[in-house]
Amino acid sequence: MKRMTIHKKFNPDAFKDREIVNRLTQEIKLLAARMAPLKIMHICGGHENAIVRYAIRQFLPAHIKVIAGPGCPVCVCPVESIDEAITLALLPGVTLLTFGDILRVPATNSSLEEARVNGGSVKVVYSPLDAIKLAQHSPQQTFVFFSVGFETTAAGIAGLIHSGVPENLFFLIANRYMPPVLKLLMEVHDDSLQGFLLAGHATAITGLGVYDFMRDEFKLPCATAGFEPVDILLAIRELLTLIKNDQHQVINCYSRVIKNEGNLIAQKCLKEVFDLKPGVWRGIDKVEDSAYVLKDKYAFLDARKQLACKPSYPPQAHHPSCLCHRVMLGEVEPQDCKLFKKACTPSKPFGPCMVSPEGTCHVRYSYSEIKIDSL
Amino acid sequence: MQEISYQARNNVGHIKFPIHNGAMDLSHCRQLLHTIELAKEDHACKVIILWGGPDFFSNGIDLNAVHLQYNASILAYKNLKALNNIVHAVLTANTKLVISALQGSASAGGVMLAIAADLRYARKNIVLNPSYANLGLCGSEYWSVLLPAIIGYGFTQKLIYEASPVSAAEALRLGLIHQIIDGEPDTFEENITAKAEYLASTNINARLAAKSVLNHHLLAQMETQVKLELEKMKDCCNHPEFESARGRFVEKNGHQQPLFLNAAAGNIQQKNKRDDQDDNTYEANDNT
Ligand code: SF4
Ligand code: SF4
Repeated sequence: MKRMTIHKKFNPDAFKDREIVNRLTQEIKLLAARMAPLKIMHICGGHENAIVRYAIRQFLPAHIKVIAGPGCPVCVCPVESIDEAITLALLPGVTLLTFGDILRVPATNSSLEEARVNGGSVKVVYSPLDAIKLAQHSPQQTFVFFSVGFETTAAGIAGLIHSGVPENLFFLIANRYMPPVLKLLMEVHDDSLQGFLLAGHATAITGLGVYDFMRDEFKLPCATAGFEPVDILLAIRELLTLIKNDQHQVINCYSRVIKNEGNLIAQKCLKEVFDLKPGVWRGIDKVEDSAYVLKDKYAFLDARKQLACKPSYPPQAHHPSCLCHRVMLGEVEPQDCKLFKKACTPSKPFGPCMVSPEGTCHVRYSYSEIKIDSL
Repeated sequence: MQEISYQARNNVGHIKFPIHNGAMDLSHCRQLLHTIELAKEDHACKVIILWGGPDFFSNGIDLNAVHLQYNASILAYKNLKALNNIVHAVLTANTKLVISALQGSASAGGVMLAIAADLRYARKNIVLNPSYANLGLCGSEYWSVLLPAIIGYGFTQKLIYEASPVSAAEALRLGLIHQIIDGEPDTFEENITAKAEYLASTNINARLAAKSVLNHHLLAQMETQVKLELEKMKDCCNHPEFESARGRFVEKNGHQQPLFLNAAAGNIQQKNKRDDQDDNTYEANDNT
C-alpha cells in the first residue's frame, strides 16, 4: 500500500476524515503486526482529550498502548503555589487574577473558589493582557497574576513582562517547563516506554531541539502531534516506523503549526525574563530545571518576594486515597482509583486531574462511553 | 572523608565503603558501582574484596534520605534500582572472584550485596537481616535469585516471610556466609587479605572456570526475576505500609541506629535466652 502523506495545504476537515483515518489505521495495523507489545506516552492534556473524544485507542491494535503522562498544566501545578495564591487572595487590598481552570482545584485546605466565597478577591481573566488592563484601571488596588501553564503560557507572560507592566501588578509564577520531566518518566517507567508524542503547543515555542537528549541519552524516538484524529494517528504511525527501524529521531508531525526551531522570539523573551530552577510537579516530584522563576532583575514583580504569600499551614499534595500523582506519571489509570466516578466527579473533584478539561480523570469521566461508531 | 575507595595490591582489589550507618543514598550507589566497574576492568586484580565499613557492611538504601524527599516512593525506587545495579555488577564479575568481608552487620539490600559475592567471611558478632518486610517492602537486589540458590526455597520462605534476623552462627549453618573469623578487626583484615592473595595467585583460572559453570543457571534467571522484583517493589513503594514503616524508622532511630538492626539485636538476644532455657533452636524448627 502506498504510504499516505499529509500536505501542509490540506483541507482542515480532512484531519477528521473517516477514510483517511481508516487508511492510517490500516497502515498502523500492518506496521504493528510484526512488533512486540509496546507503550507510547503522550504528555499533553489536549492529546488525551482528543484521543478519548475520538476513541483513538479503539483504532489501535491491542498491543500498542498510548498512555497519558503529566500533560495537564493545571494538574501539575504544585499545591504549594495554589496555597500561596489563596493566601494572597485573602490579603486585604489584593486581587488575584488567574485563568478559570485552576479555581476549583483542591489545595491543602480549600480551593481558590472557596477562598472567593470566604471573602477572598479572585478574578478570572482570559488573557494576561486583561491583567494589565485591570491594573491600569484600578491603580489603588494591588493585583497578582497567578500564572499556571507550560511553555506556551510562560512565553506569554515573558512577553508581557519584557514590554513593561503597571507598578501595582505582581506575578505568582507556577509555570513548568516540560522537557526535564521526560527524564523522570524514563526513570519511573524503566525500559517500558518506547516513544513519546510531544505536546503540540509547547513544542511550537521551544522547537524540537530541546528533546534531542531523548535521542542521545535514551535512544527513544519522539514525535510532535496536532489535535485532530488524523494528526494523532499520523504521529503514531511515524513513531511506530521509527521504533521498528530502531531510529531515535525527534520528528515533527505537526508542521502546519510547529517550526522545527520553534518560536525564536518567544524563546528570547523566556530567556530574558526567566531562569529555570528545580520545581515541584504536584505530588510527582521535584524536577531539576523545570520551574520558570523570575530572574533577579524582575524580583520587584515577584509576588513571592514582594507580598506576604506564605500560608501558615504545611502543604498536602493529595487526599490520601487520590492517585492523581500516579495517574499523571502514567503508572495507573483513573479507573484504578477507588474514588473515580464515585466520590470523585467533576462537580466534586478530589484531585486536580478531575478538575481541568485536560486532566486525565476528567477526560475519562466525560467521554468514557464514546465508541468508534460515534466518530 | 572519602567514603568509597579502591586499592589493588598483590592481585587483590580492596573496595571499602564505610558509609555512615551503612545507609546508601543514590550518590553512594553510583560511586560504589563506578568503583566496582573500575575493579572489574583492572587487569592486575584477580580477586575483589568488598569490605563494607567497620560498623556496618551495608544496610541497603538510605531510608532517612528517602523519607525526607518530596516524593519518597520515586526516590526509593530510584535508589533501589541503583543498588540493583551494584549487585548486578558483582554477580556479573565473570573474570574475578569476589569476596565479601563482613566486619559489621548487614540488612536488606546490604545482605544481598554481601551474598552476591562468591565467598563470604564474617566477624563473630554480626547480624544479617535479609528481610525487607519490616520496611514495608517485598525486596529487590536479586534476592529471589540469590536466596533460593544459596539457602534453598524453604529457608528463603522463612527468612523473607518471617522477616527473621540471623546471627553469624546461623548464617554460617545456612550457607549465607562461609566462615566466621574471630579476633580483632586487624586480624580479620589480615586473615582475609592473605586468603584472597592466595586464591588470586594459585590456580585462579580454574576457580573462575568453575564459577562460570556454577553461576550459569543463576545468571540466566536474573533478568526475569529482577523485572518481577521491581514491578512488585514499585507497588510496595507506593503502598501506605511503606510510608508508615519509613515514618517509624526515621522517628525511632532519630537518624542514628537503623531500626531493623535494633530489632534484630533484640530478637537475637531474646532467642539466645530462649535457647538457654530449652533447646528449641532455629535449625530444630526448620528441620521439621
Ligand atoms: S497547552 Fe496545549 S500543548 Fe500544552 S498541554 Fe495543553 S493542549 Fe497540550
Ligand atoms: S479519580 Fe479523583 S481522586 Fe482519583 S485520581 Fe482522579 S482526581 Fe484523584
